[in-house]
Amino acid sequence: MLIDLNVCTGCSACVVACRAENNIPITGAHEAARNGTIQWLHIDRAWSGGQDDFSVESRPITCQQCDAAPCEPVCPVLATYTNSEGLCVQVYNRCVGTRYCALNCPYDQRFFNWFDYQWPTPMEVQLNPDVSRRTRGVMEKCSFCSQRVLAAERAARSEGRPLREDEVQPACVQTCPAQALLFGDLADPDSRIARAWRHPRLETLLEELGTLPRVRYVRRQDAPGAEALQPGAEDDE
Amino acid sequence: MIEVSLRLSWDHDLAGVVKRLEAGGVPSREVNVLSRVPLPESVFPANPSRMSLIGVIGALLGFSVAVAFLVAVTVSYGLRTGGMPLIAPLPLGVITYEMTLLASILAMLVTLFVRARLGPWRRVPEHPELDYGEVIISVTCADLAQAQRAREILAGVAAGRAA
Amino acid sequence: MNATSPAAAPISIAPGREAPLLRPMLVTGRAYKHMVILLTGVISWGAFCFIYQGFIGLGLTGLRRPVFWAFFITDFVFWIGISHAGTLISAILRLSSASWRYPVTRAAEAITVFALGIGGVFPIVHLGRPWLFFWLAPYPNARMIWPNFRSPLEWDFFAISTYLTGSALYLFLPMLPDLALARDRSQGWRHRLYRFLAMSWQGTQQQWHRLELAIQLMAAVVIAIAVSVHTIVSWDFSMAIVPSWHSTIFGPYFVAGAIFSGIAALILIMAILRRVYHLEDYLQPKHFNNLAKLLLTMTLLWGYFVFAESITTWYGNLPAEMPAFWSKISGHYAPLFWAMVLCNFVIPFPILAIKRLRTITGMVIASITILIGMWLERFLIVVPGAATQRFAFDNWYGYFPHWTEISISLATLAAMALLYMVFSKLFPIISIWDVVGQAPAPTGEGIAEPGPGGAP
Repeated sequence: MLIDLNVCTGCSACVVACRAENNIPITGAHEAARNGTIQWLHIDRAWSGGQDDFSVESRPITCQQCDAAPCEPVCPVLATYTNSEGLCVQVYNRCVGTRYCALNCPYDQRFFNWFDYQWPTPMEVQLNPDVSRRTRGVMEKCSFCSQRVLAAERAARSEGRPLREDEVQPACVQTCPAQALLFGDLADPDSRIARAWRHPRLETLLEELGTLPRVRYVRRQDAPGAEALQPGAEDDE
Repeated sequence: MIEVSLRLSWDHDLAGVVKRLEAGGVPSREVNVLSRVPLPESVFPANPSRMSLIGVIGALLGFSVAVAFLVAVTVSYGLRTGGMPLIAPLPLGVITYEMTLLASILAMLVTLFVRARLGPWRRVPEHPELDYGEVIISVTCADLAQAQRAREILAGVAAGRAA
Repeated sequence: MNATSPAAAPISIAPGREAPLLRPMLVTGRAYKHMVILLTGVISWGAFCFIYQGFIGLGLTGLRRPVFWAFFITDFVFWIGISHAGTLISAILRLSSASWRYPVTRAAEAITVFALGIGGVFPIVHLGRPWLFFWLAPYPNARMIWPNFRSPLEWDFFAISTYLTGSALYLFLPMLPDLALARDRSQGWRHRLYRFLAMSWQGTQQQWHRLELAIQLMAAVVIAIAVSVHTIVSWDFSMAIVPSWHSTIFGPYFVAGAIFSGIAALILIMAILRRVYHLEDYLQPKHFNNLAKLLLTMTLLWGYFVFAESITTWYGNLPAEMPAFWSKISGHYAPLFWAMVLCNFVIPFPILAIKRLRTITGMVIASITILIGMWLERFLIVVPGAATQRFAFDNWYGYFPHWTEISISLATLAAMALLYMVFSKLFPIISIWDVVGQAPAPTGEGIAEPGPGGAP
């Protein structure tokens, strides 16, 4: 996935789409106040500049689907692993809830089901039947809408043709009004994403950790100084 | 099985008593000298034991089993995690280490139980009268004739002590 | 506990030298019974909290992102640390043929087994779905997927089960002669119990030779296991990329801390046993004194490790490491940090170093502060690393424990006490054959030479 920070307006439509698509539980204000929310995708805002000429950079952050994901090897029950398509998948049924993976995720993009969450009426009517509701005590995270990928692959297979590039879009990509998000198959060298993957202004989050993320960002052209390229880099003491 | 026993103070010539029993036709492995605390090595020297060797063999066995098990199991359903190779020697080495030591301990435990004839299923005569500073010469006899012979020898020993 | 009403004695005590050591098994006072009821109540409350938490979900605890581990993991590390009291200490003393160990070993080995059992419960308590804990066991699931042997938590599973096996054997094997003695001197259900547990021990010279050899050999192996166990526990943290956890020093640091807290627990329990069961003749000041010297060594070693760990972090000044470091030294967790230094070094060091203060009372005070300090140390390793800002994302969260977490932790403390009390009623808490075999014979002709039980 490629995210163009030049285009992102920070409107949070992707966040809402993700929530609707993936049956992300509504935890309520009380939990939100104590960091108990579940948000597979959120917008990280970096403010810079002074009082009058400030600028804000909005950066959608989700699971980076690392090739060398630190969260995976620490799971004692293999509930998370790299699948054949290179995704870092989370198997809810196998998870026992040691929460080690979440501690070992440098992006803090893993979320734990602290309770059995309920959807207030009439919200439960719009639950997505293609996505399982998670029980208490399991870990969850962004799946790149794998249910959509699987459905498209099934359809393509039944019609005996290869999967077309424009057939699969995660909910966030589909929803983005500015089309800041690009999703595709890197294994296909002619795909748009494969061509864009070599863009000169690309960056990955916490590249120094060697996690090899599969989410890359197109740096802003008007980025105020190189030190702001990493979110929160100016916070470092 | 008939047990014939005699209680003696442990400064007695115990080795001599055992020799007399053997001379009298009682097989030496049927003669046991029971005590509450171990007697000095000088009285009955320990016969050589291969327990340390068995411990090492157990460790080697545990190591081999661990390596074979871990490799077979990891390859049988290869799920890649975190860019690690499927057979990652260092992480698997930790479990190999534990299994090696566990096998070593269990091997020594089995050796102990077999060689010391231990086990909850065995029934042995109990000697509540045995006190510290004493031993009991216990002879396990297969038949009455042997028991009679052992009893005579032990009576001789007891008489000798009284005199 | 010190009342003396020998209710229908199931063991007939011959007026022998072992009588004072068998006596605690027989004489049960009212205070003991009250204590059992109290502890059972505390444990039941803890069990209730655990079940309640299982039904509601872990949201009941104070844990929230990114503090995914806190109280239960602290307790886990703490108890596994306590478990290093026994086997490690008694095995080292056995291998080095330190003859003062005789009255100490059994008490220490019992601590090991119970603390390990209790510590092993915490990873289960801490699971999101504790009813599925057995999925960590090495067996394939319905799709023939085995557990992940590359995970430090899976190493824990193997390390702790190996150590539990080894230390249970290490408690059990040296007890065989005492169990046989209890079998010979008891009637009724106790007789049947001891007959089973004594494994038909007769005390033949063949058995003695093999047993002593086995104990000696196992001591070497058990030391290797014990060191690996706490190293692996520390690797739960070291293997993670969390700043301030990812440290190479943690292996030896944790092992030293484990022995440190283990000796403190041993001194405390020995002092209680001595007082309650009137074992002044057996647990003598010299035993305490020797343990106190060991404890002093560990205090210094602990101070060295904390200093080394702190100065390397401070000097390196890596941006990712510093928030957790400063939160301990001068930030949110500073009161706990300095309380830890006080409890682990400032208070015990003078008590243990100055001979006049090194009384049994002094040692008990030092041991209690060390136990508190070591718990704090584990808490300060687990929580600040997770709670403070990690990497670039400002996602900190102030952790505060919920009462269920505190209740469950206290319940395990009660469980330790109860297990120990029950153990001391069923089994001789001081190794009789070691101790009585050592003592010179009181009277009787022909028993001129001192008991030969000294051979280790």
